[in-house]
Amino acid sequence: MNKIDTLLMTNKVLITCGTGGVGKTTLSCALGVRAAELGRKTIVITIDPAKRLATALGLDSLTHDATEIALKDVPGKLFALMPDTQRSFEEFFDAISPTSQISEKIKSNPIFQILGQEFSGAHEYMALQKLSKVYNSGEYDLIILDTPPNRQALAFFEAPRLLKKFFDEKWIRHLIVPSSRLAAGSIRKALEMLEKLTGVGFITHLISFAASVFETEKKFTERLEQVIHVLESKETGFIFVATAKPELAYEMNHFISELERRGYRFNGLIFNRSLSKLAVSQDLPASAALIIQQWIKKEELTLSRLSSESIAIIPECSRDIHSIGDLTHVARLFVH
Amino acid sequence: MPTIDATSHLIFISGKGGVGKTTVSQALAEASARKGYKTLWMSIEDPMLPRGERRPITKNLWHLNVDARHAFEEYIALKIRIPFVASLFSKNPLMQYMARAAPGIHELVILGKIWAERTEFDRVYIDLPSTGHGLTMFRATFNFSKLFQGGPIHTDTEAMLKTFADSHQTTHLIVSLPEEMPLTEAKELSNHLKGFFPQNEPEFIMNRVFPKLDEEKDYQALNSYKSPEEWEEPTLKSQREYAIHRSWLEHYKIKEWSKEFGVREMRIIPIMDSPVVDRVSTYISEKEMVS
Repeated sequence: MNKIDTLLMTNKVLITCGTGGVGKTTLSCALGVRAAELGRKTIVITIDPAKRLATALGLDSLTHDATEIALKDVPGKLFALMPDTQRSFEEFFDAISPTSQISEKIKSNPIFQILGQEFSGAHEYMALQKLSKVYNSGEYDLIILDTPPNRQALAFFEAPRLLKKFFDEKWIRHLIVPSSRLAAGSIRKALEMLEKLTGVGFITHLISFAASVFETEKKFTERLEQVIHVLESKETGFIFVATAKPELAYEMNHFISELERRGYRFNGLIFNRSLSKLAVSQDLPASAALIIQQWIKKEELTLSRLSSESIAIIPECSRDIHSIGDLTHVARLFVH
Repeated sequence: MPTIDATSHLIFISGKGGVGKTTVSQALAEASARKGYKTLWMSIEDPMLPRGERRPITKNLWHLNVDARHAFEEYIALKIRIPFVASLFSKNPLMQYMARAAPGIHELVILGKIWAERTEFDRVYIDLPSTGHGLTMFRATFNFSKLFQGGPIHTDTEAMLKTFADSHQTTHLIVSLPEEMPLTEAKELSNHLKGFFPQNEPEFIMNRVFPKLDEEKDYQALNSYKSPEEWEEPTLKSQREYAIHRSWLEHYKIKEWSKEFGVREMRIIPIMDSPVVDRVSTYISEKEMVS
């Protein structure tokens, strides 16, 4: 059995990471098709697929819940879902707030309104929440999580830690639960100064928001631990998707060591859009020959540094992948 | 080819991740400096570049990698004119935390820094973070300005947004590759920017364009298809097949895009070998894309 098939058969969770524009979403879906071919009941959680691929997968509008993708003559099943961050955020606070009043108070705060869109980490964290929810449902043999694109692939894992940090900040505690009047007084004074800059309202909203969110601490922490539990599981693995570029070896090594530091498992590199995998042509048109040869040289250099990590090299396609049929073609490339 | 920055002091370069925004913005800045303009090339918290202070690169050209924390301290110092009080204020861990946690403050001070730099240079080329994060810069600033009214931040924000909305002072340039995903994102980005700045329509540039192989027989054979979607299989067999299909697909995409946006002559940067920035910058100068 090839390395990809082995992974699809043994893992319960497969998380695909990588910077934008490398074809991560397409490959995640093609991995889903391959897993279904192997008889696995699979779900792909994706954040931002291309429009036509989304249409092909039946993800035309935001399908917050799982949708089955019809595959012909395949022993397994394939589902897909695309979480809506703002809605996930609301559901999340509904679920972790001790009372509905607190949840309403959080949701009606203007800071909450922009948090879902602006807070770096919101998309990432909501995707992880969805992962843990689907995982706990026990309905699937395999979950493939296509992480949101980011300049740094690892930003994804920072989200839970950043959010956790909120509860560890002593000054917020002082502000909301004044243990000593003096501390609370001086913090308030500092905030008043800040309000002179921001205009009236901002600080009041912020304090009210922080206080409400604090009420959710216990359940928030529980949820976070559930997410970390899934990520640390022996049946969860991370795949890095990339294309040729000089700094790839450096990026990969950094990625692997960051995973190890957190106790997560690295499953390997999928090298996408490869030209060196295509049959060599002696009759390349003159104006394109140099470009292609240089690209191949660059690719071979990148690959030679990463041969031990690479688990699949996928050749470049002629056009965009935008149907189930296309995905089946790409899935076939994993096997060769 | 049509020029990019007729009268603007500020040129925001945006687009999907991986389309070459950094290369294009740097090459434009180099071409502008060669023309004799005092030019600044700006990056935003680029992890691959040194942070903090402005540094000279060549004649007429400087680089600055803006750092939000640094910009925040500077802004506070500007607003609270007593340095001792200002540093107490900005070095305070509480303040730093607030600046990190409060949505919009980071984006606001970064845009504020860009806005301030324009007074010291003839041209400022800004390499924005990729689509989502790039848009956040503007959106957060708009939200902030709407939500929190009355203070000096509000006044500054309004002035900044006015500059960005003025086509005589600011150009919004979207970089794309002639491929489906980047183009879809370019279109979405363009719609968002039009929403923010209706009087200042974004400009486009296609980067890393494959040479047109229309003299080849198998290229001409593809002309019998209406679009690449009609090709039966997406898989390729040989390098030659790749070259022909790639060329046909890219020039098809450029034609479609030009038709849709009513562009008479699309700005194109051909795919180049290293040193890429130098080559692109020379090309930009030759084609007189910088006025």
